[in-house]
Amino acid sequence: MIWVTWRQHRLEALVAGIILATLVLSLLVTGVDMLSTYQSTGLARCVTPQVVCGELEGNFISQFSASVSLLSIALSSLPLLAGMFIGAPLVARELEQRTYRLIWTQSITRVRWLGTKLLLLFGVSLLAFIVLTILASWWSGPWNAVIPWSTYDIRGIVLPAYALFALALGVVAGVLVRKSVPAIGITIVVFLLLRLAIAFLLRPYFLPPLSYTSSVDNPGPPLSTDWTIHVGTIDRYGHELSDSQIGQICPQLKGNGSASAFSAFRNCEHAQGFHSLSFYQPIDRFWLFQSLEAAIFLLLAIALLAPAIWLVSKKIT
Amino acid sequence: MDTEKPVIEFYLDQRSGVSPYMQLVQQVKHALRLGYLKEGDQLPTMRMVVSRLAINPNTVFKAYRELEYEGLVESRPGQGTFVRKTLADASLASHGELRQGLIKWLQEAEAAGLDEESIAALFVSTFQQFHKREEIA
Amino acid sequence: MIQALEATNLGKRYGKDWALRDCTLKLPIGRVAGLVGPNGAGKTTLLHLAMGLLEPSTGSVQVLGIAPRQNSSTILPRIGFVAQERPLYRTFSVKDMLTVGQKLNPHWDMDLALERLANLSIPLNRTTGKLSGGQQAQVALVMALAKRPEMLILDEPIANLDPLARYEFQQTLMDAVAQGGLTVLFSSHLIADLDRICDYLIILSASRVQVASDVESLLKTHKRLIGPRERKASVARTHAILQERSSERQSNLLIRLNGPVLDPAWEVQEASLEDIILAYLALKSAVPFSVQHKDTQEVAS
Repeated sequence: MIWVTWRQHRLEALVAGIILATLVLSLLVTGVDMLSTYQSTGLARCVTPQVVCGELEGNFISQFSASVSLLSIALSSLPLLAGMFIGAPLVARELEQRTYRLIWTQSITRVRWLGTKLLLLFGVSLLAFIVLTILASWWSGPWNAVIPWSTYDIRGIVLPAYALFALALGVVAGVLVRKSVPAIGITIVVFLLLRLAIAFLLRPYFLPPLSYTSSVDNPGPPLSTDWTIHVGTIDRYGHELSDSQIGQICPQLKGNGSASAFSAFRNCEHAQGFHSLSFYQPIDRFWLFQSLEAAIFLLLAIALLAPAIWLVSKKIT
Repeated sequence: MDTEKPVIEFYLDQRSGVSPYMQLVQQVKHALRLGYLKEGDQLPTMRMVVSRLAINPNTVFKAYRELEYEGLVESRPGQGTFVRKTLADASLASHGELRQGLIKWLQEAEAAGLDEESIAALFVSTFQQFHKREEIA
Repeated sequence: MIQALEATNLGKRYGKDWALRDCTLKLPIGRVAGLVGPNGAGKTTLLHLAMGLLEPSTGSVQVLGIAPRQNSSTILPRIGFVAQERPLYRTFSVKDMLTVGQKLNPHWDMDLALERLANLSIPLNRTTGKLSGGQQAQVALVMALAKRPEMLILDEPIANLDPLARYEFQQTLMDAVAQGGLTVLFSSHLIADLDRICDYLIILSASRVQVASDVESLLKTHKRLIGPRERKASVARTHAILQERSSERQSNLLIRLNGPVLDPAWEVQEASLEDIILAYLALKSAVPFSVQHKDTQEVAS
């Protein structure tokens, strides 16, 4: 069955290999570049916030933001691709091409057939994603020293978890709709919905965010290493104000962006007793969040695979 | 598979309405009558007939068994099925002469303008009448 | 006694529709059985139930004495199966398909597979998608045979093949049967070749079993009667009339005998297997009386 799985998926393996090699190469090249810039400019030695560091950081970010975002998009789209092209057709293709009648009537039970395939494909994919995530963690090291939460999706342990979930989702979609193309469609929609919903609606509140009330005289956290979730302005009674409300009370900035207008606006804010209120997740929660999110996706993957195996062994035909 | 040319080559006529088993029996008897098969000749093996004709082996088995019942062939275990008795009698010698006469008659019939079907019809009806007269007599 | 196939009140329902219903039949071991019936009569359903590809809605089915659905790992190595349209992995070479068989079957006979394919001059390195229909059918059959099965189940194996490919397929099949120890059950809607190939016949129509019988006894018990039309009623009293073609005075009846035909006014003729099958397939209503039970008894004894 190992040979059969290899023979059936060697084309996918080849394509995946090419993609993997391209990514590894790009990560190595930009990684080395990023690291040497990080060290040669002296950014690496910036431990305490200094003015010069702020400028160095700004330069570093603008120099590498393009390649970091490009590779981040590439890396975070890989789990979905795996789900679409390995997961979804896994059972669906056998059903739509009627080859299940051939393969399920050899001397091997369906459970063993599916079990071997899942074990191999999930195992190899997992391995590939672990390699990628380790490499991506190294690659993003200098960047992470500056804005670490921005690379949350492509390093650490969530990336392999996304991949396993996407694969399981693809398999289940294929089992349910029995056709590759619709199964791929369902995989895309459900994966993106869940992945984005968790990233934007759930992740910021894995733990209640910390808050900090700052004034002009007294800036403080969040730092660039924290994940700022929300920043607002509150009046002296603690009510949050909208931009238009602020504009009504302190109209100095209206149609005028000069430095004097800005300082007049600041004085107004100060006189009104306005404060800035920030909600943020500190950097020391990073790995806790990663673990939580990875666990969610792994549980989802298992929750999807169990019925898929049951359906294939008992119900599907 | 046997490389030797078989002594008899079976064929099946799908449209005859005669069952395949009966066709095999009749073809052996026919060959025995005409002297194509002689005592001691080996009939093709079952496997050979089966793969030539794409026919159910049980059918061949049944046909050979029928011939055996009639005492025409015998099966020697491990060797095959062999002809035991020929159906051609002394009259076989006169076949040649009779055939010549028949050919001559056919040529005359053709010369008289009869086509194939008319010749066959004429022959069959005369043949049947001839037999009926014999029965009555 | 263990039957090659035994179905008892077997039925399969999809929603409200019955694909197969009240199917009760026995197929003795060692037979070459043809399963005929119009399209949609439930032939594929019956074969899939026998292979454990489907779960019965009612009743039970046993293959070689084993319920296939519950014991797939015991029964699958013992049955060779060629599904409808003879599915193969189209991007695999013939050699790859054989390796699939080798990896997935405990009794796989690679020598047998290679020898048969060599005899048929089928190139091993060609992808199966590029083979002719006849060659694909042969590869599928060879895969089933190389399992060294005790039973072969074939679903419309010669459908859509040209006459020569059909004949060659039957040659391979009959050659395998000649080597002994093989029971064959194949479905077909082509009935012309059946009297040459099979010695057992199952007729399914309107989702029910109309006939399950030895071919020999089927031929013995079905005759064509030609005689005066006004005496038809007397025939109908004793025998079952399956088919009737009558002119003003004369009747041509296909009957199932229930004893000898005593009335000398009727001329009794042999009926061909094809005639008998066609007569059963054309029956709209239920069979006059069941054909299967008595015959299977005869055969089993």
